[in-house]
Amino acid sequence: MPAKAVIRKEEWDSRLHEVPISKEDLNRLVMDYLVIEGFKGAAEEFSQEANLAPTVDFESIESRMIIRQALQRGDVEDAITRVNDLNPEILDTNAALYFRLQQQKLIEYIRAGRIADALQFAQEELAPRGEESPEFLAELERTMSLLAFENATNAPPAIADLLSPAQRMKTAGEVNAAILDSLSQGKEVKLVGLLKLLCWGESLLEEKAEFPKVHIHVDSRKKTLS
Amino acid sequence: MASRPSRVSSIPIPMPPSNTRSIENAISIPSSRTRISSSSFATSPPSLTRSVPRSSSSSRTSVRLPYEPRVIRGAPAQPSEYCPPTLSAGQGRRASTSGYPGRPTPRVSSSSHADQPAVVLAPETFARPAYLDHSTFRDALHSELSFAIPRKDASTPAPAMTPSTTDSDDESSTPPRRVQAPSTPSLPANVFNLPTKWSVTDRSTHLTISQDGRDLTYAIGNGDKDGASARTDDPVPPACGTYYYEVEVRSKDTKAHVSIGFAGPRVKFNRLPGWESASWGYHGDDGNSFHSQREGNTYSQTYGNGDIVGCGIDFSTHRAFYTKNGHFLGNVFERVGSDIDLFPSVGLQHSGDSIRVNFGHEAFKFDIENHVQQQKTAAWNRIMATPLYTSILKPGTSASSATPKAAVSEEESKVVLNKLVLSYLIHHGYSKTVRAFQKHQDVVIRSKSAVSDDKDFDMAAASPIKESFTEDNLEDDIERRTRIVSAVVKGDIDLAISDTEKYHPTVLKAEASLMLFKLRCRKFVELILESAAMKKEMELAKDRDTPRTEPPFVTPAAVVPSIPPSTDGDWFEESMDMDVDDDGAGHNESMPNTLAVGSGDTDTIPSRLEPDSVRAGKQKADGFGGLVSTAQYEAALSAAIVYGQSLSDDYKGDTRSEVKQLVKQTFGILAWEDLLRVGGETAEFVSVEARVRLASELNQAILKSQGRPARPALETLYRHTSACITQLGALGEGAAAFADLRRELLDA
Repeated sequence: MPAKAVIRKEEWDSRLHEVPISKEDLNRLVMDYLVIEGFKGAAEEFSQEANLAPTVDFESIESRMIIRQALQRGDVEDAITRVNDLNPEILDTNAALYFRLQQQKLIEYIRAGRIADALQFAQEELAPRGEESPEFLAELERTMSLLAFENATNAPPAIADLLSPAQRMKTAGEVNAAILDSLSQGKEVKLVGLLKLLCWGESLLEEKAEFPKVHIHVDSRKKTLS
Repeated sequence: MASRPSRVSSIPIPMPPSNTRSIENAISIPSSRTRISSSSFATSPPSLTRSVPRSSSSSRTSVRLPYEPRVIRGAPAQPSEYCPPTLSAGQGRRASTSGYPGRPTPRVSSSSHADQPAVVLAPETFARPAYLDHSTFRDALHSELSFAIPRKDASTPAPAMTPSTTDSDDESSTPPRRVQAPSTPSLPANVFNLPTKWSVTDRSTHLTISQDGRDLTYAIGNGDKDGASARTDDPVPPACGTYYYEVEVRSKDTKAHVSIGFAGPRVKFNRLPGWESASWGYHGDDGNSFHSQREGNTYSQTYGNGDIVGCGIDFSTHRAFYTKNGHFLGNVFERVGSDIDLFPSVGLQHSGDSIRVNFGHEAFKFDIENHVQQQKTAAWNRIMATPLYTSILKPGTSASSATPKAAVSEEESKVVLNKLVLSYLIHHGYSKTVRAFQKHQDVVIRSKSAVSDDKDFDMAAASPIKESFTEDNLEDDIERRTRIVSAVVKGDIDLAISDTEKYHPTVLKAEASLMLFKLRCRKFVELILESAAMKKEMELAKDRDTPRTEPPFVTPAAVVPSIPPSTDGDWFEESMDMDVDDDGAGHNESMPNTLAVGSGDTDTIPSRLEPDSVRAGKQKADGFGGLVSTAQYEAALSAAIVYGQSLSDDYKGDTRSEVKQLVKQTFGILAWEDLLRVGGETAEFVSVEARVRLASELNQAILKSQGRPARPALETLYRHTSACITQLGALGEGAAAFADLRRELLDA
């Protein structure tokens, strides 16, 4: 293993200085975040304050958010209706997504303790779909095994996770991405891409060179970069 | 406004007019180049082949060119002391930052030059192949044969490395792509040469090279016993991401004894690629793949006369692939060139056989562009599958590489992103957006909390906002700060000083009142400018036949701020006006040294058709109702002088060079009879751009006093990421070529 190259702070700082990036570029990254994450009001204000042309119809942000909120509070039926109002093709052409929504609906029945409804829904709606695909079937089985535990907290994590808010967020995220896709809008938040690129690049470079690292202090009172 | 979308209507710190931008670009970017290019020249020994001027080479060399090299037996068998000077040139380039470990650097033996065959090639030139456009570092990849690194003007001064001129507060850091420089980040190693021809020196003596450096022929009469191979002059830069070349085979056989592949710098040239340890080859006679072995592995079809065989390497996976007559044959080999320089290499074994190579001289048979696009997408997806780890996102969790990096959940990363975005918005004073963003957060937090009863999951506790500010504080803070900053931009230094004194007293006092000193200097400049404008107006009035009859508008403008402090939120509208003026400033680009941009007064938007100095004069004089008496002018001038004297008095004991320099510059403006028409450094010093820079500096000082970074964290992250990738590219990490930050995140 060759000796690591050492890049001193001054040298690194001057490299940072040379990176071509403008406020306008960063504004667009921020706008992308606001739009995709559904901060409609903020996106509107930002479009004004930063003089950025809107990349999407702001109303579509709103309807996406209503759908997301419906899923996050467990109202799957409402979400499905709204998605179909927005564009019926989204669910028609995306069997996996539709299955995911129905699975979520089943989870909500179970969460609410409506065992009879859950069973009926699973047998009538989900079982036929489980026959279509082994993946669907496996997911259906996983969901049904929630019923095997009187208290979900006793279930193994892989099963109990279905009742977690993260599962709702995951479903909501998939629906969000599908809607964005149907609007020909990017669905990955670019800032997330930036963070991933940073993690990837920094850890790879760590193996080859010594250089000043960057840390975001999220849980200190003030954010600092060191 | 519409014509310049970059002119943001309502930011508190309006952009400096464009001449600053061009100054920044003229200064900072080339100077780094100058440093790099000079060092690479210094480390590049002269090259035999490259010293031939391209234009005249064919006529000159054709007279004396022997196609066959002098046969030097034995020398190729010891390549370690028989390396072409061009290789060391390549090494020198890359090693420019001491950041290029690991690759063996062959030494040029002093005696080898004397023995070099007297072959001078007259190679064809060709443009960089289109598939290489997919590389992040495309602009650093060069196929030109006698490529000379462009020297920048050596007299260009070094850029001031103060952060105030480099961050997004200051639009002068606009990416250079708009002006002249390439869109890729400048590499520490400036230029990567692509292979362009077979090496005259690094080949078996059984092989002859055509004059254009593309054909290799196994010389007749040497028997069929020995393998004979050659490699290219330059190694393949991993910064290519994917590299590809094609070979046309001419043989008496349809299953030719030919090997096509890659070789490291130290292989023996009496062996075919694949037989040696640091070589990889695909053989035509049996269709097998070889890597450091005599017996190959089954790979694909045989090939021979008339076939076009392509050979490629993906540096993001270090796997090779081949094509035959435009068809993909599959990936092969592992870890190709992962720790050595890699040269395209071909070996022949039968006399009379020959090959002709295409390094991009003409269109490839195989659709390499499409292939690279796929490789790039795959590489990008691999990168995007990287989990976010905590040592970057959290303090305390040790960043040492010994500890495993814990992944961050989606919720945690959302908290980080919200915080990054919020701090960015706050930094630049987008106060309405901040307010709206916070409102969203509250809603989200409430709805999240509602469903999280059954799990210990509390978004409210993790809220990025609550922990840092209370809303009222935050809004007041932004508004106060933006008011101060826009006051400086408008030239209302008194308001800026008094507000800063009131709300951020430590800012003025820090570093022995350095900031206050700078503001007061600017105040003096404003006073002098004002008096100069009055003088101008007087002269204009003298020229007019009919002087106006209304009484002189008396205002002690020279000592009292003529612009009333803006009411809360007012600066949005005023910034709009700034924007209009900024637009006008677009036409300043041709005459950058004039005081042109409006001071923000809503009713003094000057016509763009007037010369800038007249605009500025009018603007100043408009404050005096268009008519100025001599007495007024003199009063203003003497008030200015009095102010200056007290300023100079207050700081006469300050020995800091920065202070002394600023005093000199500040009082230096008095030397000019007509300040509004002056050019050069003085014009720059009194310009509105200087005001904007001062405003930006004050903004950062205030942020700093609050314990916040002078550059938004988001921007630092971007810069840091870009620098990491650039450095990885310089260190030969192939995947970096497919981690195109700007294209993926900004241009997409």
